Amino acid sequence: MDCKEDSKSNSGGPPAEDKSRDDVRAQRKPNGWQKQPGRAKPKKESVLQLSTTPNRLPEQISCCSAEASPPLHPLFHSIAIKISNNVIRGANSRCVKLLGAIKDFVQSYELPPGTSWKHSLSADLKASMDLLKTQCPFAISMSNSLDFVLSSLHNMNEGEDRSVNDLKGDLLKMIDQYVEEKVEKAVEAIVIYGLEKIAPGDKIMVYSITEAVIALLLKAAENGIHFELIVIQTPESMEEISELLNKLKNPILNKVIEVNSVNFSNALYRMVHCTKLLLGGHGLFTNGGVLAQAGSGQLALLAATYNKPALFLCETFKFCDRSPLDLFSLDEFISGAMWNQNQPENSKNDEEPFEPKIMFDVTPSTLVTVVITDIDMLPSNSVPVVLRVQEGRSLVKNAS
Amino acid sequence: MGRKKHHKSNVPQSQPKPLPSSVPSASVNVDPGGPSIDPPPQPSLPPPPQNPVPPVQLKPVKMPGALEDPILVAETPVLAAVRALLRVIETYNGSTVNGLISELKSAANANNVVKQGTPVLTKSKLAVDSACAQFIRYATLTLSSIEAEDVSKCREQMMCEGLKYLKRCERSIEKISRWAVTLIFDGARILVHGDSFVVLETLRCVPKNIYFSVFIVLDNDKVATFFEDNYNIDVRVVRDAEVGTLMESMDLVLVGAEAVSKNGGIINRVGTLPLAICSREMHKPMYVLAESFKFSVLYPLNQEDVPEEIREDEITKRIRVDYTPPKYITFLVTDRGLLTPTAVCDELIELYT
Repeated sequence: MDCKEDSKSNSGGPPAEDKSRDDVRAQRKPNGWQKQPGRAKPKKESVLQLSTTPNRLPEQISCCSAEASPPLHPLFHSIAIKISNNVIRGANSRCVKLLGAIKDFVQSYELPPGTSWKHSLSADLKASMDLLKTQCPFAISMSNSLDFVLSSLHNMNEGEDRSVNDLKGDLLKMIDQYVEEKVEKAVEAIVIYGLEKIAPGDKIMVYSITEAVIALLLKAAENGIHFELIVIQTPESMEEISELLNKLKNPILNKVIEVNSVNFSNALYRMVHCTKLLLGGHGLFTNGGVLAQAGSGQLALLAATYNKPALFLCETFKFCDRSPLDLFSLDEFISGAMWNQNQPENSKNDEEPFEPKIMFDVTPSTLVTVVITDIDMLPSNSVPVVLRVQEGRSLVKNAS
Repeated sequence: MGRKKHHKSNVPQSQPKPLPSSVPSASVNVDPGGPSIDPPPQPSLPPPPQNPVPPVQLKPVKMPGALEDPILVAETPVLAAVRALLRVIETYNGSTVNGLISELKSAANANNVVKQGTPVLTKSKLAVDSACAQFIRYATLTLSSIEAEDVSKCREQMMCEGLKYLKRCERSIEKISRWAVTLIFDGARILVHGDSFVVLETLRCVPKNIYFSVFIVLDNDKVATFFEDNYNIDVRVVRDAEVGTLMESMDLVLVGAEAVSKNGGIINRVGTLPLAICSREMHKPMYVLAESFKFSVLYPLNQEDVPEEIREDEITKRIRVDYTPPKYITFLVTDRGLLTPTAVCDELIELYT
């Protein structure tokens, strides 16, 4: 059904500005980029992704990247397919899955003779990741966790007395610890802070649902806080919404909360009567912009107009030291595979205008009332300080 | 009106610096509109002749001198609480550092209970809370550098850091007024909300050759007469309802704060929010003068989110304070310098992590 809608909107013809952008794009990619079998040209890491195809089994998808010149490790290849087809959704699970794959990669890594384990592993990992970045959208959480792995690899003490197995064990332990501390515990911490801001009688509008949002709402309901939930639904977010609703489908919780699902187009009328807007973030930039599911910016703008507070939930491992001015500066939309899959047969030609389906948008900091993170509740402009403090800390740790 | 006219006519004559162009026209606008019938036209105009008379009053910035006045007592519970915590460290005779810290924390909570008594103390409840939290944080900050498990050594260290913190608190108002005085230019018309001690102290410290007039939003004339009698500052007390009318002729707005929230907003005497909205709408700068011990970890999302025990008066049950979001504040003048609202959070993050 989604595909149908897509094709409809395509045939409707894009607005003029899109066209001009497409022209630019076409000039940059004169050969018709979707036809290139393997896009070996390394991309910048991308946080955007196109397309909303319903989940498909990876086997059914013929991924063009299979013919890429240096073969991607199968572990990462399957991740690339799953991510670009939205089988793995959400910044948290992408990060965890990537780290899982890296762990498997490390475990099965065979050291080329005559090289140092640390250096050759780090070089191979980097090469694989560069390749992965060309084949699927690379979320901020993923690049942060990759940075973590590479830096902890770099800082490893490769003494004479330490065997490769010891080092391997250390690295795997560190990755496990990262997942536990930065991802799982972070959600718990966010729930603790977030509960302070959910008062009895609230009418909470929810969008851009992430693990933290679900956990917070569930906990609030379990604590017996009576509140009304207005879930804004779009075709892209049905997966998360059904997960949330399933978890709340509990006779005890149903007494406490009242859930309404409304379409995105009705948000305006609902906003007038709600008291809070709750959104999950997928990334946080140094200029205070919050990356969240497309449409979050509009809802935050609505909330600001009606003077309702907009709360974002965002873990610190999604903080990012870039400051895009708009989301198009992030520029990358989708892997070639996805694009080909989504196109109806008749429109598969170079002349067809490129119409991106945007999955994420950046809410400017002026519209963000508070970002609830695992270290504290912060105004979104404080990201640089948090990054600085975190860096300072890790430096101290490494030194000692 | 008489006084203001008087004042204005004097200003161009007596002061050598050129007035900012907006000032004369602004005051002309208001003079016919707001007829103030304050009888004493003298006080602000002749500061040069009066200069030799009250030099003793102008010099002391220390608290003790100010203590006798009822207005000024309100801010001192903070210092009292910090001193009390210092006493706790001094007299502690347990054997563990953790015991000492938990004792400090319980003492801070005890402060909490005591100060709910009178209205004056309710006002500084938030400040005492945040000051106690900061004190404990500062006192224990350097403990990790001590290797020995000797309690007395730790106590010494905490005492030393605590004393430093107390000294900073004591000197904060002096520092703030030194910063804030630079914001007040010759011929300025200043709107002040409430009888915040820091603001009044700042106004008092303005050099004698700078002429300015002050409009205080207050319910009573107490402060005005006090200031006219003691400091020769041209003060006019206005009602809350006059704020909108007066704002267009003002040059800047000065307010104090009961507490500064984590995002750089302030919690202050009720009426600050309308004042702030009004000043933003008319593009007048609004400066908040607040000591850094008032930086609290509160983060209200809106008015409703301010804890009720703070928002409402305990006895009358009327709303006592409101929350002003950071977007209305130009910047905060603190003893750590001039901070934009976002910088408050940065300071707090660096303090507490």
